Amino acid sequence: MKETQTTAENNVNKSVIMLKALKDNVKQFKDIFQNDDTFMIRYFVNSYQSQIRFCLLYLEGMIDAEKIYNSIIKPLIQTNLSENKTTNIDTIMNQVIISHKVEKTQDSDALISAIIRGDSVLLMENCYDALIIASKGWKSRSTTEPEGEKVIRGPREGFVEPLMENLSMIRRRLATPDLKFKIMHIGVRTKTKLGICYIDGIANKQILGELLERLNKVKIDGILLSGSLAELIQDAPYSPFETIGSTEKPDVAAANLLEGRILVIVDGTPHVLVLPYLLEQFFQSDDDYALNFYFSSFSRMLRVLSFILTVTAPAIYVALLTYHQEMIPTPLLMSILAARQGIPFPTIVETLGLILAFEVLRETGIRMPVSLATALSILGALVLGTAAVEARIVSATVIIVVALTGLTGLMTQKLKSPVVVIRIFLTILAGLMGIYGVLYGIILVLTHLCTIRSFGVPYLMSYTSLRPEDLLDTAMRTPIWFLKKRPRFISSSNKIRQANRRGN
Amino acid sequence: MYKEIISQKQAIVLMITFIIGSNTILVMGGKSKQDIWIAVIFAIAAACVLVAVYARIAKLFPEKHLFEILDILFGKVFGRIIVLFFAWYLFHIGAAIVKNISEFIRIISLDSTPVCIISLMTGIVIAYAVRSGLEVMGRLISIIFPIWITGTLVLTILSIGQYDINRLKPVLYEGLEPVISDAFRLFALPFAETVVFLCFAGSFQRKSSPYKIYYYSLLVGGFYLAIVVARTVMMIGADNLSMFMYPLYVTARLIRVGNFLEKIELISAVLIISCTFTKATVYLFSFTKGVAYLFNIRDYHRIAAPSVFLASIYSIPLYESAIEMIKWAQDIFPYYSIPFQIILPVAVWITAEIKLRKNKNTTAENPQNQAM
Repeated sequence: MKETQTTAENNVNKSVIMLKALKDNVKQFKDIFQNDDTFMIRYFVNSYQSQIRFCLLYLEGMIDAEKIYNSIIKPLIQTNLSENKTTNIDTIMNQVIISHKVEKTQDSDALISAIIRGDSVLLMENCYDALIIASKGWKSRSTTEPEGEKVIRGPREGFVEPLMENLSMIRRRLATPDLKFKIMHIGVRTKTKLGICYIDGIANKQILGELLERLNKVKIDGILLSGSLAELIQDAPYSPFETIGSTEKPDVAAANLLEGRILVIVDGTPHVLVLPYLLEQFFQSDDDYALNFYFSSFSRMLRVLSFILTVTAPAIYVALLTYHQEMIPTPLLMSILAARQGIPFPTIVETLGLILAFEVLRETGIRMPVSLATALSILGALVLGTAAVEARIVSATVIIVVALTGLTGLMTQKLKSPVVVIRIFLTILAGLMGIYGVLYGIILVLTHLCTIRSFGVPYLMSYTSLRPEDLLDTAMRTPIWFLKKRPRFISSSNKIRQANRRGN
Repeated sequence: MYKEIISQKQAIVLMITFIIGSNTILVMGGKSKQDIWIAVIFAIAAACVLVAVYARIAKLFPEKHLFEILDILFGKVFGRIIVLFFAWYLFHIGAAIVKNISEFIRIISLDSTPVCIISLMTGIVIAYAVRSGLEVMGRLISIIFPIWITGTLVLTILSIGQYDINRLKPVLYEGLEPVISDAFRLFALPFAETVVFLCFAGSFQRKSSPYKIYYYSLLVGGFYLAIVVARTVMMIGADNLSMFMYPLYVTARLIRVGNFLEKIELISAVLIISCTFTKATVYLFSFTKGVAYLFNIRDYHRIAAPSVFLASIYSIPLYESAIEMIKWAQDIFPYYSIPFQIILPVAVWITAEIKLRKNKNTTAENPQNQAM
């Protein structure tokens, strides 16, 4: 507690008190940015009236040199300032500087953070005020299709790191003045810019209030990733399930806004936070709405099924083989037992070991340079797979089960963390109590899922309300004209989203 | 404190699962043999009368649970004594159901696992559900119920080849007497057991009607039971019914579709357990609420784990064997529960009606007095 307070006060003690003399002001800034070689101080005078001295402060690398040259230095030097007798900072601001954003201030925090953010500060002789002039300029990557959310039919645009570009991508899709952006800063040291985005009249005011309250409670030195912010503000913090989602696609973000959800965009992260986020959204893809609804429903059910399979398959295998061998049809049992001949480990050890090996392979695959991929696949497939079976360390059936588990697990990538935890939990329970252990484990997990809420909305709301209309867009995707209402609880009073069937 | 609310649909689903609960283990093997389905229908008819009393109590005291009602009607001291007895009843039956589950699991597959391990594991799961509260239970059952319904329907359809309607004949060969004696047993278990729901009837959604909840669940659950019983008789015959300990489980073993789909009794076992689990949870949830009320603990979630574990430990020495347990459930339980299922609710109902009428009279007179 004490530590956070000291960090919070740490950089408040450095401030600038604006004085009359240009020299004194510059010296104060110099003190703050001492030992920073990118801090630039540029003195110049007006060519017609040499007693008017200016000083421009900026950080090299953060500014666009072209902008500074064209809109600040050039007009200030070349304009004939002797024409009007009363040259003060206001005339400079209003008549000389050619920039879309100029602000006059004495506030020390504003001035310092403006310099840090890449704007430049103009000081003038005999003047208490300073001007903050927009001059930001740096390269960001161009938008690409997000790797994690590929689509067959749909926009390929993805969010990028700078906040304002992301906001513009959303704004371009929703041309309504009801679309609101609330900008705030978080993190004592990083002062990370956050954009909270919602549609007025659709978004639930209570959820918005709750979000702002939680954001205000965050006292931390820095937020660099939207994921770590999500962890700080989400419900059920100890649960493996995430109750705040994220997307990299502006069209998905816009669709979520239209459903009444709220976005939190963190500057520097292309992953935009979506809240409230419910379990069914992990199984949705924006392709679903572009493709035929039979096909989309089928692929959604496939996703749900593969989630269930990836979580339970090894557990059921262990349970069947350890406790309920009579359940397996005899020919199948024979071949499984033949494959297990001479294997020294019990099924549970074998299965857990291979699950672990697969997770190691997956983790290596993510963090590894592409050039090593061949080596990995040889090691993984040959050494761990074939050789282990031939050396009779693991049975071929376990490899099939774990491969199935891994494959189905890849289908629901975003649920990775709960999947890994629950899979191992269920497998251990299966080793203890057979299929009943699996059943108990599933009941425990379901109970846990039922207790979770995301910003007050039950995590399994659509599945547990026993209202058929809530299920229209969950495990299946009914035709779009069926989806007449926005999800309950998430949206406020404005619930109807389309007119009657197909506009009739 | 935050008030828990479950919707009407969730309450109905919870009650249906509750009614079907234990009977999948305990229903079979009565005196009435092949006429047992008629006994079920008689029991439903009798329960319809009693359930009216339950629903009336719930209606008279909206947003109040049974313990508070007892307090209002019988005073602080006497009310609490009744609560104590009722909590004992809940505890005892809850533990018995935990024993049911663990014996069932032990007998059908985990025969070398000590029963105390199974009881404790069951206790952990129930404790977590109880601790999470009524709303979570409502949501949980809304997920389990559709899966359960689909599962039973599939099993019923798959076993259609095994039905032999002749096994239901002759109808009423030995007259009505054995049927009525069985009906009495079935009336107490499960239909009149719905008295437990009064312990949290105060959490029913305000606009929901207790009559609707009670009657809907009674009829759906009851007729489902009648069908299950008839199905089982049609599959294995009345004589085998009393021979097997878990006839419903056995019927699933008979299912064979081609050479491929066979021996699927494990699915049936999973369905049976999830149902019985719900019943145990409802009992122990009510028990926990009762204990919380007795000791003036505002937040019952805190004592959920200790009270459920107590029940699951008590369940271990409760019966020596599964046969003793089934005998107890069939022969003693109906009489044992008369005070709680019939006498107490009727007494509550009559006292409530009298008191309310008095109150109404006084409130009706009061304005006149003031006017005069």
